[in-house]
Amino acid sequence: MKAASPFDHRPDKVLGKALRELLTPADHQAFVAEVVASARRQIAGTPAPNFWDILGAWMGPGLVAAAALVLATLAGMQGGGSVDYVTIDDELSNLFQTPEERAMMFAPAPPDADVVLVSAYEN
Amino acid sequence: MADRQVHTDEQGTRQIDPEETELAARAHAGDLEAFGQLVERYSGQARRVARGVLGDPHDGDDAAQDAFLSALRNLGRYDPTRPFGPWLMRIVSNAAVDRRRRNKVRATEALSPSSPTRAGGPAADTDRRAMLQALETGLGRLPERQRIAVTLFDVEGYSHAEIAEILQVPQGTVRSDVFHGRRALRATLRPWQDWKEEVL
Repeated sequence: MKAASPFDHRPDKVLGKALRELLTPADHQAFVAEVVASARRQIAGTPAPNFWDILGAWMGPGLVAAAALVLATLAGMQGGGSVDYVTIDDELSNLFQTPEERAMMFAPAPPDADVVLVSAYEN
Repeated sequence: MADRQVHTDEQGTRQIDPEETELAARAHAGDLEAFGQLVERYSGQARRVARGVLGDPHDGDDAAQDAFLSALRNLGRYDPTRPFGPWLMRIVSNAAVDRRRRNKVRATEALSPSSPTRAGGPAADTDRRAMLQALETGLGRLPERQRIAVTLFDVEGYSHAEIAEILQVPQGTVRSDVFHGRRALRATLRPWQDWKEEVL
């Protein structure tokens, strides 16, 4: 055998031959036949994926996305409840000091001139 | 035996064998005859590597068979632009290491090779067996990765670079593993120093 060196890139023929003799098993053809027979059983035992399997695989991510969307919507609704929305009616109502003024403003028809003059006089 | 001449470059690295690539593609498509040809080509290597890790021929064969079936299931992941052998040997070494970890640790009683005697005739065969048994014991004492590295390098002719890829370690680690593994095995065989080449 050659002197040992970690930089030796050549196989050690004597050691290799001894190891090969030690490790090489017999009945090569029987082993090959057994592996091929096992492969045949493996292929036969593997069910082909059917429509429902594929659909199930696709549904997984779809269900997650749908659940995320529902949760986001619910969270938005819940968060939205805490916001104080101010309507234009509220703003206009605040402009008037008396119920009469507010009633005049929101009346469907314009008030009489007398009513307007009385209101202006009182204020 | 099915071992074939492999084509290598100057660094001893295997070249892609188009025939093997085609066999792998056919096997992936469900052609069991093509798969059988790949098993035929690589069963020697696979069984030796697995046995080198496990120490037992039956365990080794079981691991090698598991590896071939795993390779068949995973042929879709094989990169056809790279040689088939290292890809398969990676699966084999992983299968053997996994099986070894599952198995109970077997106590190996060392055979003392302290006083081999040179003898001709029938005694020579006894000596040869004793030497191989000592070698087996020595191999069994090596760390797992060193066993694989030495077997792949000195028996199967893989390069350091290929073994590094198979074991997923740096090349320097492979060099170190081969160096230390060889040194231990040579020490095991030292009592037969004068005549082992003749015996073998």
